Amino acid sequence: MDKIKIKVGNEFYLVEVAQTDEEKEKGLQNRESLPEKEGMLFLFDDDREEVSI
Amino acid sequence: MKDTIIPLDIVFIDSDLSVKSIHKGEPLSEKLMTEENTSYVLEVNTGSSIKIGDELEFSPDIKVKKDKMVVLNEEGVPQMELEGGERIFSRPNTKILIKFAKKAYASRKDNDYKALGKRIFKFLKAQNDSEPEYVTKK
Repeated sequence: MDKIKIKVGNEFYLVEVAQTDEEKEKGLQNRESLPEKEGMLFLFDDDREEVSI
Repeated sequence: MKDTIIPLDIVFIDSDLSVKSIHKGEPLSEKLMTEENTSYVLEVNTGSSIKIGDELEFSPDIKVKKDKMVVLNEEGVPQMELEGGERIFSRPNTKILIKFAKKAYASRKDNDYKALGKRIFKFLKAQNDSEPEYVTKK
């Protein structure tokens, strides 16, 4: 999956973007590890959504 | 966190791109973490230095230099710089548009592009409907 660069506070992260329901459901499951400054960014609709992870 | 063995910080972010809360994700736990009014969730390795109130920013890094305004094309590439005095959009409105543009860049969603376009129209109309302003030298 393509990764994008983001910044949160003072730190940069390189993240995969989870957008579809399938991608968001899967998330980071079944992975052995995550490189140091990498992660996943989940996108939700801007309709003030309540989210459970 | 179901089927997940990596210990994670689960960062909940609202529509203002501000970090609302950080939960510690427990590997293989079925426990759910819930937040209202969430637009983004960021998952990174646990032990991050992320704090409540931190702002989420997207790349490309678009800087607005002090006393100058950079006009960007639709790809976020600078087209020209304006010295103080001329404005297409005011600095606060520029900041708002950059936020909307970055969001659309990340999501590639039609609704986010629509929201950006609507906002630009709104600002343009306000300028069009206003009397010209003249800046006096200090």
